[in-house]
Amino acid sequence: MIALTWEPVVELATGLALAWLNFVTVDILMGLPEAPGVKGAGAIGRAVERRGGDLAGGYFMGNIVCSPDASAGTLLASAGYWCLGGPHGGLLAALAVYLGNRLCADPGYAGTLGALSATALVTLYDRVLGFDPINFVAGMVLAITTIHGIDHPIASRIIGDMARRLGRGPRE
Amino acid sequence: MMAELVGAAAGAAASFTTALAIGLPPIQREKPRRRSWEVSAAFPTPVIGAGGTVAVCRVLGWKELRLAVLVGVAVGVASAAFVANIERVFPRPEPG
Repeated sequence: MIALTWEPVVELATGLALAWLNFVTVDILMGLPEAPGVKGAGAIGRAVERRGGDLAGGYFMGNIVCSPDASAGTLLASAGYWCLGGPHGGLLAALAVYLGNRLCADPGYAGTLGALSATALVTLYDRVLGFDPINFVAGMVLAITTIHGIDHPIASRIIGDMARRLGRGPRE
Repeated sequence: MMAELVGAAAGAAASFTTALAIGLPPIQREKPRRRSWEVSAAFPTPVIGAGGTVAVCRVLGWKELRLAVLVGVAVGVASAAFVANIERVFPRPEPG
C-alpha cells in the first residue's frame, strides 16, 4: 500500500514559491522588461502584446528565451546543488551560466546573480528547512511553467505590473 | 564538500585581489551597471574564480583542504588574467 503524505507537497510548494520569487525579482531588477536584448526577444514581446498581453512582460519572456537569465540560473544552480551535494554545485552552475550569457551576447548580470541567489536559497531550503533539494528543482520547473507554459498574455500582464511597480517598465 | 567550498572562497578572494592588482576597477564604472559591458574585480571575476576552482577540484579529484586552497589561488590568479582579456574571447556585440 502506498502511503500518501503532505510533506512532498509542502516541499514542492515551498520550492516553487522561492524559485518563482527569486528569478522573477532578479530578472525584473536586472531590467529584462525594459528592452529586448536581441531582435528575437523584441519579436516575442510584440507578439505577446498583439495577443492581449503586456509589452514589458513580453520583453521579459523574450529575453528569457533568448539568453540564460535568472530562471536558467535558478534551475541550474539548484540542479548543481543536488548533483554535487552542496553549495559548490551552485557556484559551478553560476560559472556555466555566465559563460552561456557571454556566448549569447548578454553581459550576464541576471543569470549569474540569479544563480548565486538561488544557491543561497537552496542551501537554506536544504540545511535550515531540512527539505530535499530535488523538490526545489521540481518547484523551479513548475515556476517557469507558470510564466511560459499556461497563458502568455496573463503572465505578461502580471510581470509587466510588477516591473512598473519596481521601476523597470519598458524604455521604448 | 567543505574543502571545495573553502577552495572556492580562496579562488574568489585570489581572483578579486589579483584583478585589483592588475588594474581592473573594483566595480563597474559605467551606469546603469546592469547594462554595462565593463568588467571589474567584483563582477564577474570572483564567479569565474570560485566556479573554476570547483571544476578543477572535481576534475582532479582533489578533496584535501590544502590542495583545494592551492587550486583556488592558482585558478583565482588565472581568472583575473582571463577577465582582463575577456573581450578577446567574448567580444561585446556591435551597438544596434
